[in-house]
Amino acid sequence: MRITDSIGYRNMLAGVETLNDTLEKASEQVSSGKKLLHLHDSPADSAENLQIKNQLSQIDQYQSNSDAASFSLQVTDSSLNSLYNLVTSIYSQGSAAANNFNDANARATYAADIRSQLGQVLSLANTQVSGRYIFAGSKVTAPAFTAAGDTATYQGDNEVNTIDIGDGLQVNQNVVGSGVFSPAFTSISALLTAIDNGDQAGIQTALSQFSGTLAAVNSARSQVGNDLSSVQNSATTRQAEQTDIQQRQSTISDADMAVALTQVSQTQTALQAALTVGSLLGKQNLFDYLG
Amino acid sequence: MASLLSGLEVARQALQAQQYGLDVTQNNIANVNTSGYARQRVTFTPGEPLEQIGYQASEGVRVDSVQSARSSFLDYRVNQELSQQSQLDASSSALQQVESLFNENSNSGLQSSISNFFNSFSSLANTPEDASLRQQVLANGQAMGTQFKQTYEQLQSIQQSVDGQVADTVNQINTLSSSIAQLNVAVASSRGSDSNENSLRDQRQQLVDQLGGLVDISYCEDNAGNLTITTRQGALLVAGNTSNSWHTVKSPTSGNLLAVYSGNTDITSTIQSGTLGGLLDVRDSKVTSYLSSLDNMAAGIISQVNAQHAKGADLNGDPGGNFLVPFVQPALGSNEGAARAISVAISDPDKIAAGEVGAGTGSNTNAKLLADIQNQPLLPGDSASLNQHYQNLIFTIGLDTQTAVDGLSTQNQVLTQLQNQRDSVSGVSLDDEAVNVLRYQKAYEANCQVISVLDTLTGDLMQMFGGSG
Repeated sequence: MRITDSIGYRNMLAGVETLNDTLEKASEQVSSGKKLLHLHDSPADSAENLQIKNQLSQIDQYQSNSDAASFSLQVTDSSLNSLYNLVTSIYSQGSAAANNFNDANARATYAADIRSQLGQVLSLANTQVSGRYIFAGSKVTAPAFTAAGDTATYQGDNEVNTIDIGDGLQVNQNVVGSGVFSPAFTSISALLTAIDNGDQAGIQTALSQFSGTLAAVNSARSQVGNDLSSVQNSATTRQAEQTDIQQRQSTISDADMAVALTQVSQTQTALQAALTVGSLLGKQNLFDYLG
Repeated sequence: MASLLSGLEVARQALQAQQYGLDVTQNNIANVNTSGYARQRVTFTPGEPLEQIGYQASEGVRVDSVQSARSSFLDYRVNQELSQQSQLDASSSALQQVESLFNENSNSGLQSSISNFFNSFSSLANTPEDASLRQQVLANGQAMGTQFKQTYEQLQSIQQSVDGQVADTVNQINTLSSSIAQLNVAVASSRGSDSNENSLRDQRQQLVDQLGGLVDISYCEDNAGNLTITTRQGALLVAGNTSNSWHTVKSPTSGNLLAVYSGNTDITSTIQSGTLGGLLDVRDSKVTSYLSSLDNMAAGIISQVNAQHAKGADLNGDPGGNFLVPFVQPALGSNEGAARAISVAISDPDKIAAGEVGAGTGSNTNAKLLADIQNQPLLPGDSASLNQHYQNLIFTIGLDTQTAVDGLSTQNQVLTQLQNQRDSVSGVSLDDEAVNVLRYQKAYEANCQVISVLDTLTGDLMQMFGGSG
């Protein structure tokens, strides 16, 4: 091939342009720490990166849902614990009243004690978390129970909210108050009526209902306990998943600094060489040798 | 040699011829950096032979012609590759603007606003009667609508600016066509005469190269030296001494974008390459399809969210109304305009239908289902979810840009190679010219020597015959 002056210059220009392009890309990677800077750097990775962003934001949302569910479940759990203790204690008082049946004064004292604990049960039934009555089903804005004398009536409904805490994973957010508190109110009020009336058989009948009441409370507690441990387990799973996804994100979008830096210095050297050769272009031709 | 004096005449012509050779060489050297210049060569021819008794000799040398070193095949190939290169250049530069709009590799963008919107329903499900969470849903819904509108309009403004470039490019094409037609006249009239045909051809070829960069052309030269130029699909640009001027007309059927007309014929869709081809492809095919993806996504969101919202009950226990302003298709199957129209229809946060119909204000069933819309099939007859739709769009934009950017870098190499090949034929080499200088100089010197010898001989002769000199 016949080599003309313009060919030399054109080739040098093309070479330098390519090197400059490579250098710019490598420097951009070094300064940003990212290798996925433009969609066209890798369309597939860019689309995957988007999916990853999505997954991470979903995980964050599940995390915040879990926190909310966990808070409400913990309050529910401790309320049910207190309820259990109160019912047990009322049962003891009732038994004692049955044993001291002939002493009217003692019966009155027991009745007063039980009434005071009944008040505590009512207050538990109307437990609020951030202003919402957690035992009222979905009617969270009004108290779950209203008291009338020794008994209380459920005002809520049977709605149980579920909360998404993972893909296809849900926990119950609330326990329906009528399931646990209504039996308690019924048996306590029957007990009080019998004590007030001095009805020994009535006291025994009322006391015999307590085991059913406690069973209902226990069953609710174990449901809440299960949900709480689901929430905790999901946190562990979520964290592992998050770590995996973040690692994948880093693989596709973060620059390998060592590689990028090496490329910068290699390209700089090549560029220097190309410019040095370029500076020789046209420096010498036959005219230099003709007198 | 017929006589000593006629020998002087031969030498004089030879001096002239060598001088002419030097002139052409000098012109080549002067144009070593002139783009489009093809090196020129002098061809000499021996003069008419003089018949003498017993021997035969030519009467010196004549300059026969000055020819440009051109390969019309390489010229044509370079022209075609220039079209290709300009097309990729135009589309890669426009598409890179587009992709920066969708740079979801950073932490903002449409995806974030979509996620935020649907996740705010999920947060609402934790405390459905909470006023501030309800307010948050409305705010995030509005933010998503704004982001859709903004992205759409930015994309449209790129389309508009490409449209402006279409008009500019058509003007440049017209200017070049008319200059080439004028040069056709000049080349034809200079043919065979002792004039500057070569440099006129150089000029014309350079304009043809520029024209080839703007639009895909094919051309051929007739016997008179006229170039006829058409697009590869046959739309006329130059014939002989006339150029066919194109014009642009706003096309109401395609969003008031410009259509390119040759005479009364709309040739927009026939232009395939060159800057104009690249611009039209980005404007009519690429950006249009991105815009319609956004419209489809927005229309899908509007219809899914409203349908689900209607199934729930708001804080007052009433059935949910439209959460987003409903979108009416301008024509069957067309969602055009949805991305600009998407916005929240309600301003009262109590109207968000988060709960189940008939349940209390704490019911969260519908809020969860609303949040889940982002993972469900979005459009009828298509299993892809909203997120998948958007991922596909991002992938397509990335791939289109990558194809143009990588194609451009390959095309640059191809073009460099071809231009080198063409220069190898047509370009000026200073080494070549140095040899030519030397050649003509030596020949000139030798002829001077001949004249000097003839001078001596005639002097001797005169002296011999008793001249005083």
